[in-house]
Amino acid sequence: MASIVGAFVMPHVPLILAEANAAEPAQAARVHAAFGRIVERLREMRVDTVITIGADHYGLFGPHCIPQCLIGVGDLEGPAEPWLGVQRTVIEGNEPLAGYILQTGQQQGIDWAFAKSIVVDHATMVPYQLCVRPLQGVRTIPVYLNEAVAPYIPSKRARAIGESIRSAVLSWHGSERVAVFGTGGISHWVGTAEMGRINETFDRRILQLAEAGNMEALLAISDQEILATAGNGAIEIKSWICAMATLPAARAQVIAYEPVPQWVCGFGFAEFKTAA
Amino acid sequence: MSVNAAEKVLWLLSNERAETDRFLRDSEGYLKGFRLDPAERESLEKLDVRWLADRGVNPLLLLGAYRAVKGPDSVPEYMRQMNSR
Repeated sequence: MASIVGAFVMPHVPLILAEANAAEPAQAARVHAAFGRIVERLREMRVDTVITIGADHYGLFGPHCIPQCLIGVGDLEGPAEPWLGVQRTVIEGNEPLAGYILQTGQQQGIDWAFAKSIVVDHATMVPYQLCVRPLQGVRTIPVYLNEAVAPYIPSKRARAIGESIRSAVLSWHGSERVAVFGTGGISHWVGTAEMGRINETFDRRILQLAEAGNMEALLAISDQEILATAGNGAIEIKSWICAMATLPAARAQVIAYEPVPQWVCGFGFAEFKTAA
Repeated sequence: MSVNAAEKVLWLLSNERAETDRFLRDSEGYLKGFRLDPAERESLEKLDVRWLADRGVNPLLLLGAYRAVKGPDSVPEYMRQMNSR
Protein backbone atom coordinates (compact mmCIF):
# COMPACT_ATOMS: atom_id res chain seq x y z
CA MET A 1 0.00 0.00 0.00
CA ALA A 2 1.27 3.46 -0.88
CA SER A 3 2.02 5.93 1.86
CA ILE A 4 2.89 9.57 2.44
CA VAL A 5 6.12 9.33 4.34
CA GLY A 6 6.89 13.02 4.56
CA ALA A 7 5.88 16.56 3.75
CA PHE A 8 8.13 19.57 3.39
CA VAL A 9 7.83 23.26 2.64
CA MET A 10 10.47 25.27 0.88
CA PRO A 11 10.88 28.34 -1.34
CA HIS A 12 10.95 28.22 -5.12
CA VAL A 13 12.24 31.71 -5.93
CA PRO A 14 13.84 31.45 -9.40
CA LEU A 15 16.73 33.73 -8.47
CA ILE A 16 18.20 30.87 -6.41
CA LEU A 17 19.17 29.35 -9.74
CA ALA A 18 19.02 32.28 -12.16
CA GLU A 19 21.13 34.62 -10.04
CA ALA A 20 22.92 32.08 -7.92
CA ASN A 21 25.77 34.40 -7.00
CA ALA A 22 23.63 37.38 -6.02
CA ALA A 23 23.11 36.43 -2.38
CA GLU A 24 25.69 36.89 0.33
CA PRO A 25 27.77 33.66 0.17
CA ALA A 26 27.30 32.53 3.77
CA GLN A 27 23.56 33.04 3.56
CA ALA A 28 23.38 31.29 0.20
CA ALA A 29 25.26 28.39 1.75
CA ARG A 30 22.67 28.16 4.54
CA VAL A 31 19.86 28.14 1.99
CA HIS A 32 21.52 25.37 0.01
CA ALA A 33 22.21 23.46 3.23
CA ALA A 34 18.47 23.57 3.95
CA PHE A 35 17.69 22.12 0.53
CA GLY A 36 20.42 19.56 1.19
CA ARG A 37 18.81 18.60 4.49
CA ILE A 38 15.58 17.86 2.64
CA VAL A 39 17.50 15.68 0.19
CA GLU A 40 18.97 13.76 3.14
CA ARG A 41 15.52 13.25 4.64
CA LEU A 42 14.09 12.06 1.31
CA ARG A 43 16.93 9.55 1.09
CA GLU A 44 16.37 8.38 4.66
CA MET A 45 12.65 8.00 4.00
CA ARG A 46 13.35 6.06 0.78
CA VAL A 47 10.99 8.34 -1.11
CA ASP A 48 10.26 7.27 -4.68
CA THR A 49 7.64 9.84 -5.68
CA VAL A 50 7.44 13.56 -4.93
CA ILE A 51 4.26 15.58 -5.32
CA THR A 52 5.17 19.24 -5.78
CA ILE A 53 2.47 21.77 -4.95
CA GLY A 54 3.19 25.22 -6.27
CA ALA A 55 1.93 28.32 -7.99
CA ASP A 56 1.89 29.16 -11.61
CA HIS A 57 3.16 32.71 -12.09
CA TYR A 58 0.70 33.81 -14.78
CA GLY A 59 3.00 32.21 -17.30
CA LEU A 60 2.00 28.60 -17.92
CA PHE A 61 -1.61 29.66 -17.75
CA GLY A 62 -2.72 32.96 -19.26
CA PRO A 63 -5.78 35.19 -19.41
CA HIS A 64 -7.35 32.60 -21.71
CA CYS A 65 -7.50 29.93 -18.98
CA ILE A 66 -6.59 30.06 -15.30
CA PRO A 67 -7.20 26.75 -13.55
CA GLN A 68 -7.75 26.87 -9.81
CA CYS A 69 -6.00 23.54 -9.39
CA LEU A 70 -4.20 21.43 -11.95
CA ILE A 71 -2.34 18.15 -11.85
CA GLY A 72 0.19 16.94 -14.39
CA VAL A 73 -0.75 13.38 -15.33
CA GLY A 74 1.42 12.80 -18.39
CA ASP A 75 4.57 14.07 -20.07
CA LEU A 76 6.63 16.43 -17.95
CA GLU A 77 9.42 18.76 -18.99
CA GLY A 78 10.99 21.85 -17.56
CA PRO A 79 11.79 24.55 -17.03
CA ALA A 80 9.49 26.77 -19.05
CA GLU A 81 11.77 29.75 -18.38
CA PRO A 82 14.88 29.84 -20.61
CA TRP A 83 16.45 32.33 -18.18
CA LEU A 84 16.31 30.01 -15.16
CA GLY A 85 19.81 28.71 -15.80
CA VAL A 86 18.71 25.10 -16.10
CA GLN A 87 18.71 23.23 -19.38
CA ARG A 88 15.27 22.01 -20.48
CA THR A 89 14.95 18.37 -19.48
CA VAL A 90 12.44 15.56 -19.36
CA ILE A 91 11.13 14.95 -15.85
CA GLU A 92 10.16 11.45 -14.89
CA GLY A 93 6.54 11.42 -13.74
CA ASN A 94 4.36 8.87 -12.02
CA GLU A 95 1.47 8.73 -14.46
CA PRO A 96 -0.51 5.91 -12.81
CA LEU A 97 -0.56 7.55 -9.40
CA ALA A 98 -1.17 11.03 -10.82
CA GLY A 99 -4.14 9.69 -12.77
CA TYR A 100 -5.49 8.01 -9.68
CA ILE A 101 -5.20 11.23 -7.64
CA LEU A 102 -7.14 12.96 -10.42
CA GLN A 103 -9.90 10.33 -10.48
CA THR A 104 -10.15 10.14 -6.71
CA GLY A 105 -10.38 13.90 -6.46
CA GLN A 106 -13.15 14.03 -9.03
CA GLN A 107 -15.16 11.54 -6.99
CA GLN A 108 -14.61 13.72 -3.93
CA GLY A 109 -15.72 16.97 -5.56
CA ILE A 110 -12.31 18.32 -6.53
CA ASP A 111 -12.66 19.78 -10.01
CA TRP A 112 -9.13 19.12 -11.11
CA ALA A 113 -7.89 20.57 -14.34
CA PHE A 114 -5.28 18.24 -15.73
CA ALA A 115 -2.40 18.41 -18.15
CA LYS A 116 -1.51 15.46 -20.34
CA SER A 117 1.69 17.28 -21.10
CA ILE A 118 3.16 20.25 -19.32
CA VAL A 119 6.37 22.23 -19.30
CA VAL A 120 6.67 23.15 -15.65
CA ASP A 121 7.89 26.49 -14.36
CA HIS A 122 10.20 27.35 -11.48
CA ALA A 123 7.61 26.46 -8.83
CA THR A 124 8.24 22.83 -9.72
CA MET A 125 11.66 23.17 -11.26
CA VAL A 126 13.56 24.77 -8.38
CA PRO A 127 12.55 22.06 -5.88
CA TYR A 128 13.09 19.43 -8.57
CA GLN A 129 16.56 20.68 -9.38
CA LEU A 130 17.68 21.05 -5.77
CA CYS A 131 15.85 18.22 -4.00
CA VAL A 132 14.70 15.58 -6.49
CA ARG A 133 17.37 15.54 -9.15
CA PRO A 134 20.18 14.70 -6.69
CA LEU A 135 18.34 11.45 -5.95
CA GLN A 136 18.11 8.56 -8.39
CA GLY A 137 14.82 7.28 -9.73
CA VAL A 138 12.47 9.59 -7.84
CA ARG A 139 9.39 10.45 -9.86
CA THR A 140 7.52 13.77 -9.79
CA ILE A 141 3.85 14.70 -9.86
CA PRO A 142 3.32 18.45 -10.32
CA VAL A 143 0.30 20.19 -8.84
CA TYR A 144 -0.48 23.84 -9.50
CA LEU A 145 -2.79 26.00 -7.42
CA ASN A 146 -3.95 29.43 -8.55
CA GLU A 147 -1.98 31.69 -6.27
CA ALA A 148 -1.10 34.30 -8.88
CA VAL A 149 -4.31 35.74 -10.31
CA ALA A 150 -7.19 37.01 -8.18
CA PRO A 151 -9.56 35.53 -7.22
CA TYR A 152 -7.03 33.11 -5.77
CA ILE A 153 -7.87 29.59 -4.74
CA PRO A 154 -9.48 29.76 -1.28
CA SER A 155 -7.22 28.47 1.48
CA LYS A 156 -9.87 26.00 2.60
CA ARG A 157 -9.93 24.60 -0.90
CA ALA A 158 -6.16 24.19 -0.78
CA ARG A 159 -6.62 22.18 2.41
CA ALA A 160 -9.35 20.05 0.82
CA ILE A 161 -7.08 19.30 -2.13
CA GLY A 162 -4.33 18.21 0.25
CA GLU A 163 -6.75 15.94 2.07
CA SER A 164 -7.91 14.47 -1.24
CA ILE A 165 -4.34 13.81 -2.33
CA ARG A 166 -3.77 12.05 0.96
CA SER A 167 -6.82 9.81 0.64
CA ALA A 168 -5.87 8.96 -2.95
CA VAL A 169 -2.33 7.98 -2.08
CA LEU A 170 -3.46 5.89 0.89
CA SER A 171 -6.02 4.00 -1.21
CA TRP A 172 -3.67 3.44 -4.16
CA HIS A 173 -2.77 -0.19 -4.82
CA GLY A 174 0.87 0.58 -5.45
CA SER A 175 3.69 0.61 -2.95
CA GLU A 176 4.97 4.14 -3.52
CA ARG A 177 6.65 6.06 -0.74
CA VAL A 178 5.48 9.60 -1.38
CA ALA A 179 6.75 12.96 -0.14
CA VAL A 180 4.75 16.14 -0.64
CA PHE A 181 6.39 19.53 -1.21
CA GLY A 182 4.54 22.76 -0.50
CA THR A 183 6.62 25.26 -2.43
CA GLY A 184 6.75 29.04 -2.38
CA GLY A 185 6.59 31.97 0.02
CA ILE A 186 7.06 33.21 2.52
CA SER A 187 6.89 37.04 2.26
CA HIS A 188 7.82 38.55 -1.07
CA TRP A 189 6.53 41.09 -3.49
CA VAL A 190 6.78 40.16 -7.17
CA GLY A 191 6.68 42.88 -9.79
CA THR A 192 5.24 45.49 -7.44
CA ALA A 193 6.85 48.72 -6.29
CA GLU A 194 7.81 46.95 -3.05
CA MET A 195 9.76 44.15 -4.72
CA GLY A 196 12.74 43.35 -2.50
CA ARG A 197 10.88 43.98 0.74
CA ILE A 198 10.68 41.11 3.25
CA ASN A 199 8.38 40.97 6.29
CA GLU A 200 10.29 38.83 8.75
CA THR A 201 7.62 39.25 11.43
CA PHE A 202 4.98 37.76 9.14
CA ASP A 203 7.32 34.96 8.09
CA ARG A 204 8.10 33.94 11.66
CA ARG A 205 4.40 34.02 12.51
CA ILE A 206 3.68 31.60 9.66
CA LEU A 207 6.48 29.30 10.81
CA GLN A 208 5.20 29.41 14.40
CA LEU A 209 1.68 28.53 13.28
CA ALA A 210 3.08 25.66 11.23
CA GLU A 211 5.13 24.47 14.21
CA ALA A 212 2.02 24.55 16.36
CA GLY A 213 0.07 22.66 13.72
CA ASN A 214 -2.49 25.45 13.83
CA MET A 215 -4.21 24.88 10.52
CA GLU A 216 -7.27 26.91 11.54
CA ALA A 217 -5.15 29.99 12.22
CA LEU A 218 -3.44 29.62 8.84
CA LEU A 219 -6.81 29.30 7.13
CA ALA A 220 -8.05 32.41 8.92
CA ILE A 221 -5.44 34.68 7.35
CA SER A 222 -7.28 36.47 4.58
CA ASP A 223 -5.89 37.10 1.14
CA GLN A 224 -6.23 40.83 1.81
CA GLU A 225 -4.06 40.57 4.92
CA ILE A 226 -1.45 38.52 3.09
CA LEU A 227 -1.28 40.97 0.21
CA ALA A 228 -1.06 43.98 2.51
CA THR A 229 1.53 42.63 4.91
CA ALA A 230 3.56 40.02 3.07
CA GLY A 231 3.11 40.67 -0.65
CA ASN A 232 1.55 38.93 -3.60
CA GLY A 233 4.18 36.18 -3.43
CA ALA A 234 3.09 35.23 0.07
CA ILE A 235 -0.23 33.99 -1.30
CA GLU A 236 1.88 30.90 -1.97
CA ILE A 237 1.44 29.84 1.67
CA LYS A 238 -1.68 28.14 0.30
CA SER A 239 0.75 25.55 -1.07
CA TRP A 240 1.99 25.08 2.48
CA ILE A 241 -1.59 24.58 3.67
CA CYS A 242 -2.18 22.01 0.95
CA ALA A 243 1.00 20.10 1.81
CA MET A 244 0.26 20.28 5.54
CA ALA A 245 -3.17 18.75 4.91
CA THR A 246 -1.62 15.64 3.41
CA LEU A 247 -0.49 14.56 6.88
CA PRO A 248 -2.98 14.28 9.75
CA ALA A 249 -2.42 16.66 12.68
CA ALA A 250 0.79 17.81 11.05
CA ARG A 251 3.27 19.98 12.91
CA ALA A 252 6.30 21.56 11.34
CA GLN A 253 9.87 21.23 12.43
CA VAL A 254 11.64 24.25 11.05
CA ILE A 255 14.76 23.45 9.09
CA ALA A 256 15.80 27.02 8.39
CA TYR A 257 14.61 30.56 7.95
CA GLU A 258 16.62 33.04 5.92
CA PRO A 259 15.44 36.46 4.76
CA VAL A 260 17.47 36.98 1.59
CA PRO A 261 17.07 40.49 0.17
CA GLN A 262 19.09 39.75 -2.95
CA TRP A 263 16.69 36.91 -3.71
CA VAL A 264 13.76 39.14 -2.72
CA CYS A 265 12.15 36.69 -0.32
CA GLY A 266 11.90 35.36 3.20
CA PHE A 267 12.89 31.72 2.81
CA GLY A 268 11.18 29.21 5.08
CA PHE A 269 12.06 25.52 5.18
CA ALA A 270 10.29 22.96 7.33
CA GLU A 271 9.42 19.32 7.58
CA PHE A 272 5.93 18.34 8.64
CA LYS A 273 5.45 15.41 10.95
CA THR A 274 2.28 13.86 12.23
CA ALA A 275 1.87 14.70 15.90
CA ALA A 276 2.39 11.66 18.11
CA MET B 1 -9.70 50.51 -18.94
CA SER B 2 -9.79 46.89 -19.95
CA VAL B 3 -7.46 45.07 -17.62
CA ASN B 4 -8.27 41.87 -19.46
CA ALA B 5 -7.20 43.15 -22.88
CA ALA B 6 -4.04 44.69 -21.45
CA GLU B 7 -3.21 41.44 -19.68
CA LYS B 8 -3.77 39.56 -22.94
CA VAL B 9 -1.13 41.72 -24.62
CA LEU B 10 1.28 41.47 -21.70
CA TRP B 11 0.93 37.71 -21.42
CA LEU B 12 1.74 37.32 -25.13
CA LEU B 13 4.75 39.60 -24.79
CA SER B 14 5.93 37.64 -21.75
CA ASN B 15 5.53 34.19 -23.15
CA GLU B 16 5.60 34.19 -26.93
CA ARG B 17 8.94 35.27 -28.38
CA ALA B 18 7.46 35.74 -31.87
CA GLU B 19 4.88 38.16 -30.43
CA THR B 20 7.60 40.07 -28.60
CA ASP B 21 9.59 40.34 -31.83
CA ARG B 22 6.53 41.66 -33.68
CA PHE B 23 5.99 44.22 -30.93
CA LEU B 24 9.63 45.28 -31.07
CA ARG B 25 9.49 45.70 -34.85
CA ASP B 26 6.26 47.73 -34.89
CA SER B 27 4.60 48.29 -31.54
CA GLU B 28 1.94 50.62 -32.92
CA GLY B 29 0.91 48.16 -35.63
CA TYR B 30 1.08 45.24 -33.25
CA LEU B 31 -1.27 46.86 -30.74
CA LYS B 32 -3.86 47.58 -33.43
CA GLY B 33 -4.72 43.90 -33.21
CA PHE B 34 -6.21 44.31 -29.74
CA ARG B 35 -9.31 46.00 -28.38
CA LEU B 36 -7.67 48.80 -26.43
CA ASP B 37 -8.64 52.41 -25.86
CA PRO B 38 -6.15 55.16 -26.77
CA ALA B 39 -4.79 55.54 -23.23
CA GLU B 40 -4.24 51.81 -22.88
CA ARG B 41 -2.61 51.63 -26.27
CA GLU B 42 -0.23 54.45 -25.38
CA SER B 43 0.66 52.92 -22.00
CA LEU B 44 1.39 49.55 -23.56
CA GLU B 45 3.41 51.06 -26.36
CA LYS B 46 5.55 52.90 -23.83
CA LEU B 47 5.38 50.01 -21.35
CA ASP B 48 4.28 52.50 -18.72
CA VAL B 49 4.14 49.89 -16.00
CA ARG B 50 3.26 52.35 -13.24
CA TRP B 51 0.17 53.55 -15.11
CA LEU B 52 -0.89 49.98 -15.86
CA ALA B 53 -0.28 48.83 -12.27
CA ASP B 54 -2.40 51.68 -10.96
CA ARG B 55 -5.26 50.38 -13.07
CA GLY B 56 -5.06 46.87 -11.65
CA VAL B 57 -2.94 45.01 -14.17
CA ASN B 58 -1.26 41.98 -12.60
CA PRO B 59 2.33 42.84 -11.59
CA LEU B 60 3.61 39.39 -12.53
CA LEU B 61 2.69 40.13 -16.13
CA LEU B 62 4.09 43.64 -15.98
CA LEU B 63 7.47 42.38 -14.82
CA GLY B 64 7.50 39.47 -17.26
CA ALA B 65 6.59 41.58 -20.27
CA TYR B 66 9.02 44.34 -19.33
CA ARG B 67 11.92 41.87 -19.08
CA ALA B 68 10.90 40.19 -22.33
CA VAL B 69 10.80 43.48 -24.22
CA LYS B 70 13.61 45.41 -22.54
CA GLY B 71 15.94 42.56 -21.71
CA PRO B 72 16.89 40.55 -18.63
CA ASP B 73 18.96 43.39 -17.14
CA SER B 74 16.07 45.83 -17.14
CA VAL B 75 14.73 45.09 -13.65
CA PRO B 76 16.35 48.16 -12.02
CA GLU B 77 14.77 50.36 -14.69
CA TYR B 78 11.45 48.60 -14.11
CA MET B 79 11.69 49.29 -10.39
CA ARG B 80 12.45 52.96 -11.02
CA GLN B 81 9.30 53.20 -13.11
CA MET B 82 7.21 51.34 -10.58
CA ASN B 83 8.34 53.71 -7.85
CA SER B 84 7.76 56.88 -9.87
CA ARG B 85 4.65 58.90 -9.15
